[in-house]
Amino acid sequence: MMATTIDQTGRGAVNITDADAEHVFQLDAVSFSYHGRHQALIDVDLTIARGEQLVILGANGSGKSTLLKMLDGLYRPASGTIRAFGQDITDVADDPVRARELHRRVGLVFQDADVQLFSPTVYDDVAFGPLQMGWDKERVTREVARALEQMNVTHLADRAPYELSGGEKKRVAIATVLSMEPDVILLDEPTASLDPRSSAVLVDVIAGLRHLGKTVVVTTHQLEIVPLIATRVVVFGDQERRPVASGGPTEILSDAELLIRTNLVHEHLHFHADANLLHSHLHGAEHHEG
Amino acid sequence: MARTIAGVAEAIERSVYTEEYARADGFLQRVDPRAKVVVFICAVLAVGLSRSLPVLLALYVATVLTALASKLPLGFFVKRVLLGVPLFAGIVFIPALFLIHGKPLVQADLGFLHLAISDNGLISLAIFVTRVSASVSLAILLVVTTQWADLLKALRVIRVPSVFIVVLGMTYRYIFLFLQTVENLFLARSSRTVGRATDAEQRRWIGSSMGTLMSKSFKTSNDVYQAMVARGFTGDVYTISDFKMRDEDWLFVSLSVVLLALALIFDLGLR
Repeated sequence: MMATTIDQTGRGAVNITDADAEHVFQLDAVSFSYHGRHQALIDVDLTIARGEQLVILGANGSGKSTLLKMLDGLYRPASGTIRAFGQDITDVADDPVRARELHRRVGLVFQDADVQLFSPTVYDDVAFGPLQMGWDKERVTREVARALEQMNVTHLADRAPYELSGGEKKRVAIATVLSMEPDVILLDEPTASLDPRSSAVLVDVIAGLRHLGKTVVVTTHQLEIVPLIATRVVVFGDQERRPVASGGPTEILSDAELLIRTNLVHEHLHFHADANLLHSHLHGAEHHEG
Repeated sequence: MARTIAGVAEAIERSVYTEEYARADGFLQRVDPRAKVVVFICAVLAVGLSRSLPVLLALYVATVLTALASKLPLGFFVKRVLLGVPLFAGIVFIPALFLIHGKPLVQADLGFLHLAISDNGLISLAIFVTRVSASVSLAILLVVTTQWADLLKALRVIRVPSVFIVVLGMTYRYIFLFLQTVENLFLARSSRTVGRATDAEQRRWIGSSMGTLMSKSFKTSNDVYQAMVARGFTGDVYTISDFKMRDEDWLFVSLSVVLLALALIFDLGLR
């Protein structure tokens, strides 16, 4: 079955989720540009249902990271509207009080863990969010212990973030948002620059978030992790800067034409025996024999 | 310059980031960080207020003995202070050495200028250098025997403004990251350089590297701020502290304060 392809000329009129599902986010014609010049997102229509494990696939520069920051209320769209939990949050970046409540319900794990882990110890970093929420000491202590345990990093609590490995940093970064008991967790390129083993551990962690009842949105361009963590996939075009397709992981990953067009795989000529053939390959994947 | 920066980065990583001495099982390492901060503030005050050389020397020796009891190598501790501080303090003080009146010990007549070093000048120099050495030794002793996170928490407890502590913590957290960036810039340049660059080229390159580092640090500060806002930061910083003062800590504070007070009284008697 082919993935649902969204109208390329308009704002994407295709309904990409069940209209009756309870929506966590609804984006309507959202556009954003940096400094009014570089267009990062153009007329994005997107709906995310409660409890979904959504993977946003896209090549570098397709606007994935910008989208996550908008969902977390850090950026205000240049045009269009964003609704979260049924409420309009388009202007929430200008309202610190409303933004704080949104930040509690929506946790964002940044791509660079060094940016997220700014406190002297892992414990302080995990406690930072709950303390900013004004929770009492007992609740903070309880939530921090729970988050550390969920990410299996309790033994790192007294360590300084700079002492941790890349995989440990990522797990601690997730713990820093889990301690705030969010309904939604946004992960920006969580497996980027991790070795295969750390990457596999993190994939297990992300898949496990489903069992905690969280809505999870992950951006990536690493196709190999998609079937392991996604219940649905939305593909962003790097030229269009908006969703160009949506569907189940199997549908999307079997649509070679779509993946080539969105620069998620590349193709080139090379020899197989005595034939000069055109093949497509995953980013970074080795050529297969035969 | 590349070697200097690499050396600085390595020294910071080795001596500060590993917190090797802060994790040792020494005397000061067992004391509550709050007690240490209070005692060291009192000690620095006592050093600053003392005017007699014997008392200052006694305080400096006491600091060195405490360092030894805290399992700091004597060479590491004394060299760190004695190599730099007296040199710079001495340079600052040298003009005054010739201006303080007293019994001349050394004289030089240059015709148009008569220079004389008096006994009072020499004593004042010795007091100044000892005072600076003792103060810096105390600061180093506190920092190397306390884990950075505990030190920041202790500062919170004694009501140092949160913003100041957060900035201090972040500076410490990210300075090494930037040193590594600078080191990588130099390495990347070396790997693409054949032969020796002219002085003008070197200056141009250093200028552009400074610009690159500045824009990188701006970006990082912006990203860190966003990461803080994303977790509810609105300008006020709230923290959690879970220290418990034991009887031994109270004893340490009490004894230290009494001894420092006695030193000051003795100092007054010697004036």
